Amino acid sequence: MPALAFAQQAEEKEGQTVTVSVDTSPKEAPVFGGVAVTGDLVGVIMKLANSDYSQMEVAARLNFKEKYFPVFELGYGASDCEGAETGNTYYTQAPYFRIGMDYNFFKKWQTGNRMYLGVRYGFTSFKYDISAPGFADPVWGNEVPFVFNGLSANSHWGEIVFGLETRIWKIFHLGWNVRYKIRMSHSEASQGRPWYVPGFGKYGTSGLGGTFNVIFDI
Amino acid sequence: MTKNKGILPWMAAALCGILAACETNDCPLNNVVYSTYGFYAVTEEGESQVRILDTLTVTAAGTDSVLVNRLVNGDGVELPVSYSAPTDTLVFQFTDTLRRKREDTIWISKENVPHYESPECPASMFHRVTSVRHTLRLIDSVTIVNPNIDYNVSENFKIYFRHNG
Repeated sequence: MPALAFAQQAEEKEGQTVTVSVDTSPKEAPVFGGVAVTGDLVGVIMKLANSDYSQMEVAARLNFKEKYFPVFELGYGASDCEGAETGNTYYTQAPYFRIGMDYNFFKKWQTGNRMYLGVRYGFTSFKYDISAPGFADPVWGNEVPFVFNGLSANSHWGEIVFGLETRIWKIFHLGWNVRYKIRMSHSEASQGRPWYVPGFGKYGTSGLGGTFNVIFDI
Repeated sequence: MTKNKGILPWMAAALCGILAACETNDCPLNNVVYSTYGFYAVTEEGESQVRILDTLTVTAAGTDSVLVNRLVNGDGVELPVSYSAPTDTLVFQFTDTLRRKREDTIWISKENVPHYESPECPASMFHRVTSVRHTLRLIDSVTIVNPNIDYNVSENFKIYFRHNG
């Protein structure tokens, strides 16, 4: 994006020099402002912190008139955890994607700062493993094993996004966003529901999430 | 790099906020589910819940377990369900004041459905009742009210007794 700039122009007028300032910065944003790639730091930190789950995510974003930003997000979610008190385990790893658009309603687009609202549609199809220590039937006496591997599930969800972004240096931006996620439809195995859904987060009909992004204009 | 320095602390705070996820576990206190039976009779006025004046003992056939021991004046019982058997056989033994014993047997056929919520919550076994049959000494009929035996406690069966039993 072009920066605010002033050029000085000298004119020769009847033997004397007059200096005038001309504002050469564009008044209107270009129709196509370029492409940006982003990476989410939250997932990286969760992975480094050995969180119960983490998701690595990158995105590509188009820029139309500094207002409309179609986005494609691609991620890889993983969970491998064991309940400290129960001994239950949960394991999954699978890709997910989201597609959507942001609308920048920050007027001073020349600054490179943005404040936006957006929507997303997300989808993932994944397999998961669950297990629990076998539990003994107190009346009938037998012990029932509880190990199920390779269970199939999928999930479709929508997201409402609010975010801020600021230019740090030329093509380099930092930004964060928060997301309210609403499950639209899903399938799960009858043996047990998935605890973590890649891209969506913990199982439920809705959830909150967010990303902290490093952004490069290319 | 200097232009937007003021916004960096806000971004750092936002990152901390995003990372500070709320961790709450709503695990049930008890992961054993029970089937619930209500005692009823059909009178001229219609159906009404009744109390059994005889002493009632319920056992699980094939085990030495006593599920209900000498219940008097009860209007219903809660009974455990086997984790893996396709059919539970329950023996209801009634003892009257003259110490006469009479028995009815109820067979509950069901699907056993493993239930897993999260790594932090104990797993459990839910059940879906598919059919029920019974003997006819004191019991007139048994109906399935709610076939799902799970954490939602509600009446699963109505046992109708004979008037002059």
